[in-house]
Amino acid sequence: MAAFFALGLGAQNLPDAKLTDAAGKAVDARTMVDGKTPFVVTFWASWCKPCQKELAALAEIAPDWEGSFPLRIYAVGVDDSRSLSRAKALAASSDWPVTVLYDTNQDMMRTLNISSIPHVFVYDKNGKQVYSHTGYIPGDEEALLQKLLQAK
Amino acid sequence: MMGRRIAALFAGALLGAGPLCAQGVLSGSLESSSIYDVLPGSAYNGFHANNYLKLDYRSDGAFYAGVQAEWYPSPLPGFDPALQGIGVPLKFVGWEKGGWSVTLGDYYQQFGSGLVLRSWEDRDLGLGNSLGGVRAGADFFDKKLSVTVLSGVPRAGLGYAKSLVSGADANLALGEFSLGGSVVDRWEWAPDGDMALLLGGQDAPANVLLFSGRAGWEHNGLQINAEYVGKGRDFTAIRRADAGDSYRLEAGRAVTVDLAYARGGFSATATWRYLYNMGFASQRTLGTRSISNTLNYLPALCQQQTYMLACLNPYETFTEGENGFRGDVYYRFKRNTALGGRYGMTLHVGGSWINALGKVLPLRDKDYLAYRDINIDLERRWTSKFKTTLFVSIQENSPTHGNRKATNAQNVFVFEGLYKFSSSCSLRWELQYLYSQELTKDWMAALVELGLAPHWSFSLSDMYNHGSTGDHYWSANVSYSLESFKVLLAYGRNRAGMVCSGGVCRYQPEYQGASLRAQWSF
Repeated sequence: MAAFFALGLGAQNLPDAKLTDAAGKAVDARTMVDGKTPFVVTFWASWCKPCQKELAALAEIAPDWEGSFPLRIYAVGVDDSRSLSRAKALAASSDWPVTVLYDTNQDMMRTLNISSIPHVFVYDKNGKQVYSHTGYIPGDEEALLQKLLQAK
Repeated sequence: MMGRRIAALFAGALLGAGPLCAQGVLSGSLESSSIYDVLPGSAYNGFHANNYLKLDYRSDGAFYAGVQAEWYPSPLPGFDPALQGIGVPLKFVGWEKGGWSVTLGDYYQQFGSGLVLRSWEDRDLGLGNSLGGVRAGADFFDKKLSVTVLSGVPRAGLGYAKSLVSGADANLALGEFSLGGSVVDRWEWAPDGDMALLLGGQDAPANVLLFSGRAGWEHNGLQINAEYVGKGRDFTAIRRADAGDSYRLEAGRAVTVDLAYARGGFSATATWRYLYNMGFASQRTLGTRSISNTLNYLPALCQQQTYMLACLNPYETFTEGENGFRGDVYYRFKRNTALGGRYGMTLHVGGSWINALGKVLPLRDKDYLAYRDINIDLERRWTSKFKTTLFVSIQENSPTHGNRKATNAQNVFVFEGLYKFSSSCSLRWELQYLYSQELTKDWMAALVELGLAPHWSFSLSDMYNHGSTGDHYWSANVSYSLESFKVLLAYGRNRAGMVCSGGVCRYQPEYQGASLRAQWSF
């Protein structure tokens, strides 16, 4: 077991997962890391009501963002083939302040050991995970943006 | 015994890898779901639990490895009883660099939309059909072309099925166009002799081959995707409670066409899907005893419902043969407009119509309705503190899955409200009514939930059938979240019925008692 603790337990970096954008083009998750600013990654689906409530709540408070750096939120959709087109339609008609990407066989979700959604992460400018939260209760979005500010 | 030795070997390799790799990250998750059933006369009285521990190691270089241990002292009601026990169904090592990758051990993989192959995990369903073997992938031409080849033995319970799945998949992206194709072969090395008996002496082939071709085009907000799948002759069992069982050896095919358009606050999608004899099991004679005994993904085409009364009678795909259409329109009324008000308003209207193919059934050639619905959602924020959602779902389904013409109809109405007392304190409520002249007739339901962000949530709910049985199905819940740890404690009575996730359903028997679910990822 000593080996476990020699390994930086919990200091998980953003994995190099293959995602797709709304047009279906391949996107490496590591491209979210720009070396300059922290960012949020949230996992959602078209059939997940709490996920959509969280994204809508972020849309409502985004105009009041007081950070000294741009607000960068990546919403990774885990809809599979059954509902992917509806997830894209839903995102396209929304005013969510996010970049939407898709993880259609939940490979990134599994790599990050996510058991249920919504699940949000805050990563620092180098892609190191500094915050993780599962579930959504109205008001969680404010705590999330506070964590993002602290990650700078 | 051999499986345990292999698992121990992989676990040892994973632990031993740590000191060998100067830098790396170990992550994982722990999940436990348990219930204690006290329902008088229930076959499930007592304690049941599903437990999962997953550990992943990823070096700063290209190496990764992982294991998942599962422990079912007594599987939760409705889960495959064959899961009982402890095992390590997932153990893998891999290497990934510069667009090249190889995985040895157990892995998940999807080809195309999953019609020919989807191995995945859904713990709410008890579904896990990983493949154990080898997988390799490569990207070429600046990731415009990606190729995957694999061969593996499907998971069955905590062990493996008696079949080998091999396949290849390629995707080519050319600007606005995309092309792809897959081929998958299942070799069942120990076909059950009963199949020949049921087929009147015909031998079911040990190998069954599936292939698919797909194409897509995207331009200026418009997307079109289409896929055709062909399936070789395979043993199919058609089990119908009101028509007896029938068996045959026949080829299958599937076609899907998906259209989507989005511009501004408007978007629309339309999907047509035709399936004929597309069930593709890891081990044919196991049938549907375990929902993990499947190698492809055939989810229900209709909307997955989330409100309590709207999902009382969910539709499951009729894999033997169905022809269905679904359409959805989304529109966002902008802020500061007459209809949108100060905060905007979103509208969704969708519907589906699915027929069961008559030719699937003996002595019938006409298609009958299996399911259709129309769903409308209207969501509006009135003030910075108050938000409402109106939802209507008109559903009609065939209790015989399209075997007979008779159908049942139900109309569901939901009013949901959310009021925020402060930035962290909120109250959410749902009022629901189901009107029906068939089956158990009318239902009503209510839910109230107090949220104290970012940690606590308390809720009470009740579903009451006042049209026929007078039954109450109530629940009291409390949940606590701390970063990536979440625990949910509930007590109540759960109705027997289908539990669906991602369009796939499993039967859950009725139970009453306490349930506890804890999740932690690290």
